[in-house]
Order: sequence, then C-alpha cells, then structure tokens
Amino acid sequence: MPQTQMISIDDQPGQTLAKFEPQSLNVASGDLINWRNNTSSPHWPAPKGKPKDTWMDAEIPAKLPTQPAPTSPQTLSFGAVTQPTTVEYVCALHPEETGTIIVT
Amino acid sequence: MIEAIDFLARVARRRFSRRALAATTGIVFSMFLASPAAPQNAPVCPSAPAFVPIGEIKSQDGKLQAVMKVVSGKRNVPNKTGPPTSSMLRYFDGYNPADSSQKWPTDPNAAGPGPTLRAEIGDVVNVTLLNQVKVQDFGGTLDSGEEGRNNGCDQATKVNADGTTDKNWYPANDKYPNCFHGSSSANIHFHGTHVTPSTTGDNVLVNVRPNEKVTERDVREPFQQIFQHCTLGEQPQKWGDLPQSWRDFQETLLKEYDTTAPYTGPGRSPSGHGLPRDLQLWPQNQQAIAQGAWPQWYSGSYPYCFQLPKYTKASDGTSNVRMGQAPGTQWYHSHKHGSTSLNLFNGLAGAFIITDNSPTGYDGKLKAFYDDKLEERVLVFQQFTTVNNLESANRGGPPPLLVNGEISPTITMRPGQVQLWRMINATVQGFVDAKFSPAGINFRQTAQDGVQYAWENYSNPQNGTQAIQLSPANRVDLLVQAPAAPGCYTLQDTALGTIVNITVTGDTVDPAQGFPTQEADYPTMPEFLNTIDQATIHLRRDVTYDSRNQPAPPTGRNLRQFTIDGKQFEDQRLNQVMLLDTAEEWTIYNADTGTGIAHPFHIHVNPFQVVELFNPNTMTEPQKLSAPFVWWDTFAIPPGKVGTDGKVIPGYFKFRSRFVDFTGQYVQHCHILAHEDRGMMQLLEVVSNKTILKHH
Repeated sequence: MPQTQMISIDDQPGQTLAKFEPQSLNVASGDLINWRNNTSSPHWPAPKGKPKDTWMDAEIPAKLPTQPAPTSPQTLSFGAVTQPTTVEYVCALHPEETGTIIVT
Repeated sequence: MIEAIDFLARVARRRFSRRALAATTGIVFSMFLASPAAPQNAPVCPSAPAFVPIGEIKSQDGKLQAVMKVVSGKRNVPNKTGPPTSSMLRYFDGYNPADSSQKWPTDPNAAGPGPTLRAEIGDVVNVTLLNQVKVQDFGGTLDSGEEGRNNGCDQATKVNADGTTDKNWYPANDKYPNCFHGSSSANIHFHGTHVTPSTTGDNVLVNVRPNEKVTERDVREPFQQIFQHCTLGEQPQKWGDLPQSWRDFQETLLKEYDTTAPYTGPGRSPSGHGLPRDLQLWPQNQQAIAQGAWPQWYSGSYPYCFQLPKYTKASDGTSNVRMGQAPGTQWYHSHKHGSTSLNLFNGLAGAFIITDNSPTGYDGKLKAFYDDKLEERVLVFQQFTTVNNLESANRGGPPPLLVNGEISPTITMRPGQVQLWRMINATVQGFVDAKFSPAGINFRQTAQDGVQYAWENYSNPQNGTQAIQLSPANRVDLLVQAPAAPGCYTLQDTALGTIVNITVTGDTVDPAQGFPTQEADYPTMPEFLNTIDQATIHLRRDVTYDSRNQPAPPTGRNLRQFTIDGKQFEDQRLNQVMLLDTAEEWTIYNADTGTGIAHPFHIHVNPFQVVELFNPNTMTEPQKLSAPFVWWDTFAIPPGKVGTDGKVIPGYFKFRSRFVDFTGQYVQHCHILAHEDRGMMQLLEVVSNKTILKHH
C-alpha cells in the first residue's frame, strides 16, 4: 500500500543553513512525498542539476511565528521508477541545502 | 481509461450486481437453507485479535453531550502480512463532558472508528466539534484555491524513471470543486438522522477550518447557551441568533486566517502569506450574513445541536411531526466535499445508535423478549489508507477490511446464544457480500439502514438464508444465533475474506434463546414508517447516474468524470426542489456502462422505500416489489448494460419518499465517496408551500 511521507525543513542551531529531515528518505514508488517548512525562510526542493520548477511550481513559503508550518505546493510520486534509484535534491533557493530520496 | 480509484468498486460490482440486490429487499430471498447441527470435533479456532468493543458516549436525561475533536497523529493500521503500518491520520477523539469515563479512543495509537454515540429518540443532541488537525502533518490540506494554484485542487507530480516529470498527474482534467482538496477541513454528517439540514442540524454545507489553538474551554460558554436554546426547541435560525462572543471569536479567527494563510498565486505578497480579497473567507461570510443566509466558513469549532424527533399522536389524530426519527443503527462521518473519501480512508467515522426503549419500540421489545440478556455488538467496517489512488502514480492493492480497527477479529459467543449485531459499512468504496461459514450459525435480519423490518419481512421464511450485503454506507442489523455445540465459524466475504471469526465456547446459554416467532414479541413498526401509498405521490422524477470520458486534455491524464443527469456538482446550483410535506416517487437510473459500477445512491434527511428494481444484466423484466416495502437511505443502483443494438439499457430502482418536517438544502450523491468528491452529487432543497400566482 502506498503511504504519504513528510520531509521537514528545520533550522539548525548556530547555522544559517536549514536541513532536510530525514536527510535520506526511503520511499516506495507509489508513495506521496511532501515537504514541511518549519523555518523563517522560503525553500524550494528540486532535483539536483534540474530547473527549480521540475517538481513544484512555487516555493514553500516561510513559516510565520504563530502559524502552522506551510507544506509543499505539490506532492511527489515516483510512479514509473521500477528499480532502486537514488535521487539527490537541493533547495533551489539555498543550493547548499541537500537531501536524498531513495526509491525502492 | 478507468481510474484506479474505481478498482474496488468494479470488482465489488461484479459480485454485488449478480445477486441483483433482491436478497436484501426483504421480499425476494434465495432458497431456504436448513441449518445443520454444529460440526463434531470442531477444529481449533484460528488465532485472531479479539473483537474490540468501541467506547460509547451515551445520552443522559434526554441529552447526548459529546465533544468531538478531529485530531491528527500516528496510528497503527493492521496489515494482512507483517507489522502494522504507522500512518499519520486524522481521526475523531471524543468524550462526554458530563462523564469523563465516556471517552474514545482510549489508545490513540490504534486505528479505528470514533466513539459510538448512543441516544434515545426524542433526545437532544449537543456536539461540540473541534477541528484541531495539524495541517503541517499533511500535504495538500488547504482548500478553495487558497494557495493560489490550480483553482484549489490537490496537486501531484509524477516523477518518471528518467527524471522528467508530469506536474499535472493530478488533478489532470478534474476541476474545482469536483476534485480532491481541503482534507484538513471538517464537518459531521449524521447519516440516517431525520433532522433539519440547516444551521446547527445535519448541515454538511458548513466548512470548519482546522485551528489547533481552539479548545473546548474557549467555546464552552457560548456553546452552552446555544445548546440550552436547542433544548428548548429554539434552534438558531440566523447568524444573529448565536452568542455575540462566539460570533466575534469566529470573525477574529477567520480574519487571522485570511491574512496569514500561505498563498503563492497571482498577486502574492513577498512573504507568501495572506489571501487576495476574492479568496478570503470572512468577506464571504459577511456577504452570506447580509443576505440572511447561514455562513459557510468557521475556524476551529462548530456547535451541532438538534432534537431526534419523537413521533407522537394526539387524540385528534394529528401528530407532532410527519416522520419521526427511526430508531436504529445510524452513523456519522465527515462530509466535506473534496475530502470525504480521504477522510473516511483516515477513519473519520463512527456509529450513532438511536434507540427506542419504549415497551413497543425496537430496543424495548427486543430487550423484553430476551429478558434484558440480549448482548449487542456494534461492528464498524473500515478500510484505511493515506493516499488518494488518483494522486499516487503507482497504486497498491485494496486496503484490508477492518472491523473496529482489527482484521478478522474474533467474536465470542456461547452455545445457543443470540446476539444483536449492528453492522455499518463505513468504507469509502468496499462492497460487502458475505455469508456465515461453515453452516451452523442462524440469523434473522431485523433492520436495514437504521430502520426496522416490518413484521411481514422479518417473518418471511427466507429471512436467514440471504447473503449479507452492504454497499458503502449501508447498515444491517442481525439477530445472530450460535449453534448448540462449541466450534469455529466465520462471516466470510468471497472477495474481502474473513470479516469476523466467531468462536462458540463455554456453557450453553440458559435459559435457551431463540428468535421472536410471534408478532407480539416483535417490535411494532412505527406508524410513520408504514407504506407510502401510491395515491399520495405528489410528483415523479427521474435521476440518472452516469460517467463519461471527456475529450483528451492538452496535457496529462484524461480522468473519467462522474455525473448525475449529465452534470457534475456545482456550487449553489439547485438540481432538485421538493415541496415540503409531500411524497414523491423517484426512479434512479444507472446508465454508467463505462465502468459498470453499481453506484450507491444516498439521500440525506429522509429515508425511502424501494418499490421496484431492474438489473438488465440479470433480469428480463423489472421486479415490482410488494408492500410492506423495506426502508433504505442508501441503495446500490443496479448497473446498466449495452444492448445488442449498441444502446445503453440502464439499470434502475424506484423509490417513494416523503419530504417532510424540514425545509432547507442538502444533497444526494454516490456513496463511493471518491465519486462524490469528484462531482457525483446534487444539491437539493425542500421548500415550504408557496402561493401559486395565477392570472385569470
């Protein structure tokens, strides 16, 4: 059965860069993947080396102090991936912020 | 192409339609099956989880008080193989504010239905709905285009093996509002109740936004005022009838939402927060209030209050209401258009048992017959998933059927014991078609869809031989009798497998229990549930359920669209208008040969009597049923077929119903809830008598 999975974008104490949590996420090809932005900056997950709007049309807005954390505008499903594949992604607005999705 | 979401229903339809629904009409039963004695040397019963009785919130002193929180959290969903899946789900967490011992769930980690509500006819129902879902736990949770994309539909991107993407995998050609969206919004449909569909009644047109900061304490005082008025028969009619403090609270919360909700569409602010004026919620409420309408949008809380009408007759023959509330197995579930299916896949449903404990009533009579020793089981059937199939690019198989949160749990009975089983199909699209196996269990059906069988149907010699069939939303009450000898039995569905295991063990029940065989021992059919006479029919109308493939879109998939009378649901467009206190006869056609699905027709507020049906796949002539007709509120429309001349021969059923006691707007729809979410729904209104202007 496909599942929905969530990747958090969190501030790191003492650092300016945010971090994707978990850094490496295992998913099945039908799973739905969302991102949640817990930081005060916008972020835009995109596959490494590809245009920023490959996965999502827009950034994930920053979290406002007293409001719920916004989630990604689009959900992702690796539907046609039939063999184990590792996908590296970055934040298109902060390219040093990286993460990995392993499709099994 | 047939959508993935229809997989279950297609499979179910093949099985369900074969039997042409005749077995459950109470009129046409299959051959009588004699029940042999229990097998000797019964095998060791299979290891299975114990049946979990769901905790109840019960009315007291004429009042059902419940705080129903919609919350989110990780819950364990049992699998057929392997350990349970820990899934982030939205679910009902309820308690009785007047009795803290009445609380459910007691284990929030266990997936299953919400608390069972139990009230007596005539009681006042006061439900404080709190929507405390954490939207950050879910993707695609907002509504109404408020994020500024794709008119408010959920959006899913499919990633291909070469890294290319299809960003319109969903919604493809689905269009707002008939698409999946707004899954964190909430409301409650009290399915099977005969109460007003307006204001604080069974109103599924209100939309309660999540606000985890709003607690019961915040709304206790104003809601107590509202509930007090309801108890006096003064249900609020307009916005100004509500306490000023709660009206102000709502205005503040909705304005806060309007200025802070994420929005990345045209005209966005640099922060990505704050809605454009035309998408803001509070101005829409203001407009509705100015027009004297009941506002649609709420944040965090909503007061449901209504009385379950008790039919009483005065000495002059007049009655206080035209229809009373039928005592029986009703249920409740979320009914937010666009997310009803996903929310029921999350488990947002529960039983609502409405009793009549008067000496001649359904419960009072059965209790008396069994000398207060009739054990009752409430079985809520559910299927759990966190994924709308159409959004996933690689779907899995159907989820397992759970009964009160467990797969094939074991119900224990004593030899010879009779139990009352109240079964509720709270699945999104699972059709149940089951039999007890092996032979040995006896049963009698006593009610359908929360309305008791008339004595003539209960005592039909073929009652007890039929398959036990429940389309999504159907309820069936059975008196189930264990055989005289210990042994292992099952309620077995040919497609879904073992629904429940039954272990017959212990001492033989003493005194012996059987089924009522004399009319004097059987609950009296309430007068308001007598047959609707054909002579009283005020109007006849036809309604057609169908589906269609649209012209291929420029990009993306072409999802089949589901229609009623050729159209999908549209905001504020009234499809049917009925005159208050009249009876009508409707013929509900199923012309959907594209999918062949037996779409389950459901109408709110008033149940109906099925008087005729036709399944062209199994019948050569329509079958006219005989009075007394069985009452239903959900009926799977027999599927049509394509004739040899290429023309569609629709299946149909015909019902009679009375649109009585309550004016207001409500809906009829397909209870395969993904079809409802995607447009297979109509808006109805019952209106009061009007002067007909006539010039001479």
